[in-house]
Amino acid sequence: MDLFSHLLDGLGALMGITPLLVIMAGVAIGILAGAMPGISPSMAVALLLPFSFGMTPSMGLVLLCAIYLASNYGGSITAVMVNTPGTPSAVVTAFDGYPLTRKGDAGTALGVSLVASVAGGFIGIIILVLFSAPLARMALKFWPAEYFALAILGLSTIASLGGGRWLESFMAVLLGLLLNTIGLDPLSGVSRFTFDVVRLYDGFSFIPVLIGLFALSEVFSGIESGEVGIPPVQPDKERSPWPTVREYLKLKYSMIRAGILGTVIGVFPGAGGTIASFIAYDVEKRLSKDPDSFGKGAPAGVAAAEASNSSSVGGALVPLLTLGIPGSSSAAVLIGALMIHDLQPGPELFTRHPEVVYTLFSSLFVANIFLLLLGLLGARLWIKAALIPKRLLYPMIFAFSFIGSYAVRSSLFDVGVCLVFGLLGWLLSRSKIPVSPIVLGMILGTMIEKNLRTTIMMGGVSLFFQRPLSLTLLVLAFASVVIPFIREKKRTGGGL
Amino acid sequence: MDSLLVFLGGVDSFPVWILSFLAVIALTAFLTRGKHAPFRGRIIICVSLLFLAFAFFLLSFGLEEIEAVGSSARTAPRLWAAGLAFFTLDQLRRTLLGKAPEDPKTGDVQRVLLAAAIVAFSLWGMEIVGYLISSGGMILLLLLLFGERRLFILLSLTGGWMLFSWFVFIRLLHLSLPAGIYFG
Amino acid sequence: MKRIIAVLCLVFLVALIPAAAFAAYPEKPIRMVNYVGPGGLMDVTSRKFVSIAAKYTDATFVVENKEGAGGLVGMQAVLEQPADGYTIFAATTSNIAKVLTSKKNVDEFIWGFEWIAMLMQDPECLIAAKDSPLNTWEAVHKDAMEKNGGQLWTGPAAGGNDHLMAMKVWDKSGMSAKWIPYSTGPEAMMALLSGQGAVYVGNPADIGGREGFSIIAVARKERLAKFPDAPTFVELGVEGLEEEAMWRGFAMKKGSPEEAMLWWEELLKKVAADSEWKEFLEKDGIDVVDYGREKFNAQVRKDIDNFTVYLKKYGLIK
Repeated sequence: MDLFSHLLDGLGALMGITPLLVIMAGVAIGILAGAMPGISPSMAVALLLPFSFGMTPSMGLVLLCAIYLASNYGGSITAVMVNTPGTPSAVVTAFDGYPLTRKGDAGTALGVSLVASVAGGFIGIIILVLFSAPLARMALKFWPAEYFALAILGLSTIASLGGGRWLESFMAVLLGLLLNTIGLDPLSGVSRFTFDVVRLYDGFSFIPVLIGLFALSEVFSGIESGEVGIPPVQPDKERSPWPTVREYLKLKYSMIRAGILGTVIGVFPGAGGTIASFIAYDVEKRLSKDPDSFGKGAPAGVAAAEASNSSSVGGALVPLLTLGIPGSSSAAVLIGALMIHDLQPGPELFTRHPEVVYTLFSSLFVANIFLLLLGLLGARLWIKAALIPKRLLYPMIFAFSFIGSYAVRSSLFDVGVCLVFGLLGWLLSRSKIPVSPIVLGMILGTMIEKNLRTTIMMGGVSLFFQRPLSLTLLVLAFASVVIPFIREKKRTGGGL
Repeated sequence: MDSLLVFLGGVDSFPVWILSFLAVIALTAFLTRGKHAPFRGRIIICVSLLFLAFAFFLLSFGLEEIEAVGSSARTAPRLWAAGLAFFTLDQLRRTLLGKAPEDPKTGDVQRVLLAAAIVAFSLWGMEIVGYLISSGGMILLLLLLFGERRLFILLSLTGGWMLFSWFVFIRLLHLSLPAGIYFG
Repeated sequence: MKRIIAVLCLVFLVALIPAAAFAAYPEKPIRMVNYVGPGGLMDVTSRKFVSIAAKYTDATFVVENKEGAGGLVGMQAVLEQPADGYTIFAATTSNIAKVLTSKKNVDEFIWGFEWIAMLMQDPECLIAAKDSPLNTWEAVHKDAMEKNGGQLWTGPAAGGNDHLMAMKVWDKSGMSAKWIPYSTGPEAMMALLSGQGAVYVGNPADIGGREGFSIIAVARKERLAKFPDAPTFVELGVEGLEEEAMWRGFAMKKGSPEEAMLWWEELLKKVAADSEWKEFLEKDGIDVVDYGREKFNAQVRKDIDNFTVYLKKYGLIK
């Protein structure tokens, strides 16, 4: 097999002190950067970009990919421990990870998210290595009509996000969609609802909104309910806080399903990785024997979210390597790195510099192993965060949220946005209106609007139904909202 | 009509929007005495969302149409605003009929608002005294607010944060944090 | 103990003495504000420039990304900084187009800057999918005339540099078509490959390393050495498109110290003559230039006039 000998060559190139150290450093930096709210994976990769200049192209790429992979996991640490998703795709990890921590079971949350991350990472890479060509062909079948339908499918997951609160979920998602229209119109560039403030031309920055709605609103709720005075839950000294191998194995199918979904959906440029984690979570919830536990601390929810999120790294590299098109903002930085090293991203990389490509593939495998090792080591440290009294922890969360919102665009305005959304999230969740649909609406808003309007420009609304792929996705989305709705209605006997 | 829309969508109209929003909230709070009092919070949220939907809908008429692009910037906001209004009205109906969950018991709201005020104050002060001092001050005040009184903890957390953020954000990452007017 | 304190005091005092008293520009890190995200074209250019400039100067450069609104956010951020020459805006032609289409004040957003260093001219070109039946200019033109405005062209944002180029082509060749904007250039290229449009408007560098594309027309006087098969518009019988290019360069807030501007103009000359820099750009068919203030400002003025004509003609501004 040609492929395997290439991979072995690549692996051979990594078996030295320097390459292994580079990978290890990349993984360590990635975990730390990902855990810092506001430093998104793409920023982490960009920050280390200058260091890669002095290295050989392969080593530089290996370093950056290790960071990319690890920072995607790092985002889940804060999501699980303090309800602060460091990346949009870690939002879903917080749904069940944080409730687990609140119950005093941070070990399960951390352990499952790490193992699922690593498992998802492996699945993503394997699919990348074996099936990148057919996946790229599939990506080319996607027209705006299909992107629109995919976004609608992502949106349909709100049906299960709100935990049975249909009406509130719909309100929240539409609020998110509406707020998303603030800024320059994606097609015509007309300024909408900005009151001529240039800072609003790009709408609300996503990370500050995320930090506000999740982290600050949680802190505000904690302050209101007087948690600052309550000592943290002491872990059971008798029992190991970490899940057993058997408990991990119980989640294997969740991880595999989510990993495949994550890779496949992660192929699509734009919101692929994030949509994937929402859909994977939704799928697991629907398949689960105990769907009501989702949102209250179901390990399967954490596993699905993290596996799909990490596998999307492999997915995002598919269009990068086969078409020269970045599948995510981090992959865009990788393209920049390649270009600075005078390498052209795209299919020619395989023919002209196969050593770079196969070293990259092998390094992703190695990086995943390091991620597991360093992650386990780190988890012993992170779990201590659950023991910090809230009155000390909360000021730190404020401080990190502050710097995190600022760092995205070096803008104090964004810090203000974070605070306002924090108060908004607090007020809404007090009244049992879920905030996660707002986030989903804001993630998908542009994608939905743009592709809807582009399709209409290209050939009218009928295009959505004439194209088999988009029709299938739309029917799927429709069914996934309506079927549980009808079932629920039958069970409760009417009423929304 | 057109000139009114231009004004409402411009930067000068912002106070008008804020004031009318506050007036609507105050009126709602006033009207929800008595029977509806247990649902007051929920009703106010619904009314705010309706206000927002209405504002976006109204402002959408002032958005410029560029024929050359072949697609209107007005469609999506109107669609979402209509949807939001529809579901919120239904929610409001159910709440008024008493079918929605009651408002939660009020906790230590004063402390929440104080915490938010401290953060806002530190944000405002950042342009004057710079990031390091302002964020250190924020942590100190928040710790005091949450009832921490041990001097050692207060100082080490505040100082530790300032050192950490100086080293990581300024030295290592070269973030251009506000330096303030005294140190710029 | 006392001695330590004394030494510390001394160190503290020395640190307080304004360094400007005896240092020349640049005495602190120079921030290079980019309007695209990390990995974007101008970002890569800035970083490459920095790595080459390191051969000729000890100055520290920090590349920053202030994304948003096609550059308006970044431009405003630079304009809000003091005019001390330590904040540079990394600009491209697209920023000029953006200021015009968003009807921002030209005197503030364009002439609030001194355009100090123009690095290159990247020729505009039309790109088609190799396997498409419309893979020559003649075929595209014929199809466009038949469809009478229904042909689809792909590219980045409406009103941007590439859209302007498309309008010029339509105007000069007497055809019409529809512009379908995508979030980024690469996404528009992917759309072209999947058959969503007939033509992508971009630069020769776009097809480097990617398979399945070919350049069907170049807006340059002569053919490109790197792409000898790609005809120029003149050869195809379309006049008036001999010098359409996207430039990239650096701008400084107006009123910055003369010393800083001179320093930049000198640095530019050195970098522009560097063989590594030349090779980096020329392999993509880019023309390296070293325009200082005078020539760069003239170029910007010319662009404004030219863009205004086309944006008005196609109804993007009134």
